[in-house]
Amino acid sequence: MPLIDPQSLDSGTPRTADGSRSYPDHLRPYEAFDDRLLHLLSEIQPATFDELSVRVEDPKVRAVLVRWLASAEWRGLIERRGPTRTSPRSYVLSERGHEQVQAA
Amino acid sequence: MHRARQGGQEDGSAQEEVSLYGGRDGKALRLVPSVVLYVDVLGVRQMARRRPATNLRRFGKAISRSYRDFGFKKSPWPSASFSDMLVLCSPLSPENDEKSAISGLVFQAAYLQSALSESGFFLRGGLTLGKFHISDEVIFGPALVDAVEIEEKVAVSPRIVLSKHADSIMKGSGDGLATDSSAHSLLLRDGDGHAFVNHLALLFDDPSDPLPALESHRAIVMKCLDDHRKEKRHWEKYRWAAEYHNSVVASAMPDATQLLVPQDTMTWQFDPFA
Repeated sequence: MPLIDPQSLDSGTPRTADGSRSYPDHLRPYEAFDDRLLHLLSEIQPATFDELSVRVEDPKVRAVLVRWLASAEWRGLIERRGPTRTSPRSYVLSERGHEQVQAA
Repeated sequence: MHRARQGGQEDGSAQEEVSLYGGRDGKALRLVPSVVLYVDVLGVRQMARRRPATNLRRFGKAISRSYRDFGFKKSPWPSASFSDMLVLCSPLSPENDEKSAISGLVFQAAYLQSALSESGFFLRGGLTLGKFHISDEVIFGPALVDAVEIEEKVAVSPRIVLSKHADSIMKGSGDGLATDSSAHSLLLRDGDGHAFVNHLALLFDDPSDPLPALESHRAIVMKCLDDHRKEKRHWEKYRWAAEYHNSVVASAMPDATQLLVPQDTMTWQFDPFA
């Protein structure tokens, strides 16, 4: 079951699949990093937080990477894989994320 | 003695930052203005004395699971660990200003606290700014001394406290940490005036349901309160953790009263005079 209700993705305020929670407003400022970080993730995916952070050249962006990942996941641009017993959680572009990278 | 990691030596954009410290390829060791995070895992000394074999497996599993997620070889945040202590740093540079460096380490601290508390361990620490050196051979500098002093003398409870200098830099500056809602703010201010890392805030960023993680956190806090009910000094630390837990739950999920640590669990029981 997807975490996010697919029908809510175009609404501007995505909701969880069970409808109990919606996209937090405090994550909106991180949408400004979409172009840069989606493109970076597309080059190295699947990538853990650390694998992605080491590739981010701007320390200011690197500092808020945790919140960009949350923002992008809420908006259905990336999807998580894992964690498993031997590897940490990693991220890949969703179909929607791929489309955004190609459109950029 | 310690395991040190200096990231980005093979490739990747972090190479420039970590090489600032020198100590490789015959370069002189250098003190570099840095943000330093020092944390100590609570209860490990007692664990080492009581059932050490069992506790070694438990501690080892928790540490390897947590460290693998952020302290990896090429991490842009050079780190060193020894037993139950961990040091992470972020060297300042024209590109990495004080606010960015503090923000980055606060997120790291929150992530580490979340990961370890899931395994039943609580962290106490300090986050400072100042001169610092880290290399394969040595970790050194006034920023580390200050961070250790905050951990030992100021934090007291399982919280990661910002130095006054770091606090003043972040005051009034969002930089992704502070928000209007205390539930989402990565920094909170305690009753003693100190700013500390609100690691439970990360749960509310995530689209995953925060309920299971909060239930688990509540259960772990209650177990620690029960385990230390005869040791007032240690018990007080977990009472603080219970107050913190309840404060976050009340702010973020006011209707979820089942997630609160019950008041009677947080009340010290006095013994009769005998």
